Amino acid sequence: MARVMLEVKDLTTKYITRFGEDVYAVDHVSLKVEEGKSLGIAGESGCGKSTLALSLMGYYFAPLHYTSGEIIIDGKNITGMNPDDVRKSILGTEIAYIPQAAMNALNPTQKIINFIEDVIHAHKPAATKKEVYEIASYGFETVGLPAEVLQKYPVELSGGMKQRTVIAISVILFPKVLIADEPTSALDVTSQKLVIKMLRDLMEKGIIKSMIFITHELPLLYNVTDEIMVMYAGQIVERASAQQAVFDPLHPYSKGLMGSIIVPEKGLRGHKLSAIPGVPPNLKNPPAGCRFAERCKYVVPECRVTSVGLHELDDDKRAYRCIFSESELRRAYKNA
Amino acid sequence: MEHTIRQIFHSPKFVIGFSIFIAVLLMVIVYPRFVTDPPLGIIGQGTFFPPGIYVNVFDSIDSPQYTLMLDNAAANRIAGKLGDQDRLDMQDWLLADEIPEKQIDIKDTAKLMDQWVKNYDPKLSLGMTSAKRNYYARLDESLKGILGTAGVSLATKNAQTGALEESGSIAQSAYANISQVPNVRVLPLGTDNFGRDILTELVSATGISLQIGLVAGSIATLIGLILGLLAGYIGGLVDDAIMFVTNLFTVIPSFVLLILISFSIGQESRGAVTIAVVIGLTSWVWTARAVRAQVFSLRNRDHVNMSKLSGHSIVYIIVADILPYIASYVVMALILQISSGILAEAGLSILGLGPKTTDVPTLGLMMNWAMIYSAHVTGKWWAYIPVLVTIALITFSMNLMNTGLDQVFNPALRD
Repeated sequence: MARVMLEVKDLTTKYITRFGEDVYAVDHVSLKVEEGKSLGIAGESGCGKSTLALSLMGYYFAPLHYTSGEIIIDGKNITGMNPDDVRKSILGTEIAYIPQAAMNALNPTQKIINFIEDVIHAHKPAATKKEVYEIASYGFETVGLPAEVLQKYPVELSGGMKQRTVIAISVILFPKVLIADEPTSALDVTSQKLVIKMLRDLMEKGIIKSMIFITHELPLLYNVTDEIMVMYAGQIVERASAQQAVFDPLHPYSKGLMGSIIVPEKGLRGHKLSAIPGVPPNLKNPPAGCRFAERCKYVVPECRVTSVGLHELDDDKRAYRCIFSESELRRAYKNA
Repeated sequence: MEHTIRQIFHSPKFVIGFSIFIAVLLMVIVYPRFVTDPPLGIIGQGTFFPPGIYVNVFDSIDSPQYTLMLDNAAANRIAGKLGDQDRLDMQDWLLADEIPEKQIDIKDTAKLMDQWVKNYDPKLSLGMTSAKRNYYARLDESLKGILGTAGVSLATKNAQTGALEESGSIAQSAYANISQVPNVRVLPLGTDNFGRDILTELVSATGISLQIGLVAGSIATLIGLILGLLAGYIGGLVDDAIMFVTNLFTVIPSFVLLILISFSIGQESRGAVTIAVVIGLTSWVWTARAVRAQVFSLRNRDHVNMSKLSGHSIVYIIVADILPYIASYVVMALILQISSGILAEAGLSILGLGPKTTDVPTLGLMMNWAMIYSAHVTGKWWAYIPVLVTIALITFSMNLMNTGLDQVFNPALRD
């Protein structure tokens, strides 16, 4: 069995609002990413995807708070570590993060090299300007970006270039796990392709050992990842291989999500687009039973009262959260 | 940076404002190099000498005399000596002598004198009282003196006998070359109520007022900036506390506050710097509010969040990630604060609450002096118009610069 790069056990984190209410945006999430593998996380807006990404780094600041669970990176348990130590010894080298809308993550008044200097100084406070430049230009060459970019300001770069620069900065210290939070959301298709190609290259060249890819674009996930996790209202509702998750989803929510994909084909114009009705529940006081019950086509009265756990299938290769059995669900989908 | 500066200097408004401001500034710097008199030195005995070139009479008697035969010299002399009252009296007499009003023009000296010489007859009573007749007789005598062509004799006292001895004479056609007269003083703007050269005073006052504006503006901008940044970035309780104070200052009219503070400090301990600090301490409110509003929109930008995630301190984030975004606004606010600081000082001083009057002149103090000595009532325009123009020029140039910068930096106004 391959080495496990990232293991998360029952992680729960919450936001504390201005009025002191707890909002559990990540609710008992467990996941495992092996060396050389990538995990995709899907779900609509407000499902806790980005919060999960932030929580995985073990670095919390208000209003996000750690509640329970464990995060183990390459055998090293980082739960309960002092945030300053996390920043100095974990971020950048063990786990790296590409923020959502990464193009705006660069302060326009600083040169690219300054961001890298910042990263390196967190780990090696004594590094000189020359050393920083050497590490930076080596890193940039490895990921396939010209070293001239280092001396430029973010405003001088195009959107796609900025995005790739942010990725290059995140992996400059060759982290074991890379968390990419919607790295392609604000890009045109050609830039998206370049970014995806770059992320794949990173995996192939072994610059990063494993990756967690967060997006709401399922075709993209199918293209990039080995395993896909679907989140809804802070919980995992389905976990399956990329193939299964896209072509044979079990949970009604995953099914709906896959059905909402728009594929350009003849006769699409004028067709009614399918979407999941309603919005995710307010997590300030989540429903007692299944959280998806309100929007589910196949809802039965028990759904609203019985809370459901993850059913594991195929020797833990696959799991889903529903009170119906696999065969019952398949029958329902067939009849629909 | 270079690009930005080039852009700024392509804005005509900014360039005009900047040129006016630099001209004023150069005047303040260069003028004292040539005129080294103390700005508050009293040179004139008397109030409000009109602008002009003052030639020492005693020296011009002694200086070499040149004879120039100029045609209009006599006419100019008579015109200069004949006062308005004399002209009106002459008109009255001529009217009484039944000369049609249309033919009399009291502005035309030559014609008036001509009519007078032809028509005046002391024997005619024309229904006047004897006092009036005597008055006209005297007027006629003095007019004859004016028309006379004799020069002036100079006499000196003999030291032994005490008798007057003629030592020379000055003909009406005698001229002195102004460059050969040892003592000539140019007073381009005349003197003020205390007999001080207004131009020297004005230049010095402009300098002091600019300094007051700069100090007041810097203090106000600094306080406003710091409070606005803290309130906007930290938010929560800090924001509530700062906004409470800011709102307090907003509802109290700052000028009233300014008057009360200046008054309570007392005339003796009010220096230019004190006034500047007081103005600065009362005018930061709007800067703080505006900066806070801007920071509010910046605090959740992605790069700020990333900076937080990278573990930077609050001070670093504010200085490196937020300040650059509002720097252009702060510069514009500073310019406006400086110009409003100058105006506030002028407003305070004109009410007599400005700096101590014995130390330095300021633009407001000069207005105050002109007002107390009723220069505006008696028509001594040179005591207050140049001050008004200077204040207007400074604030106008600064506002122009501000609008110019606004056009460059504000995306909504860019064309």
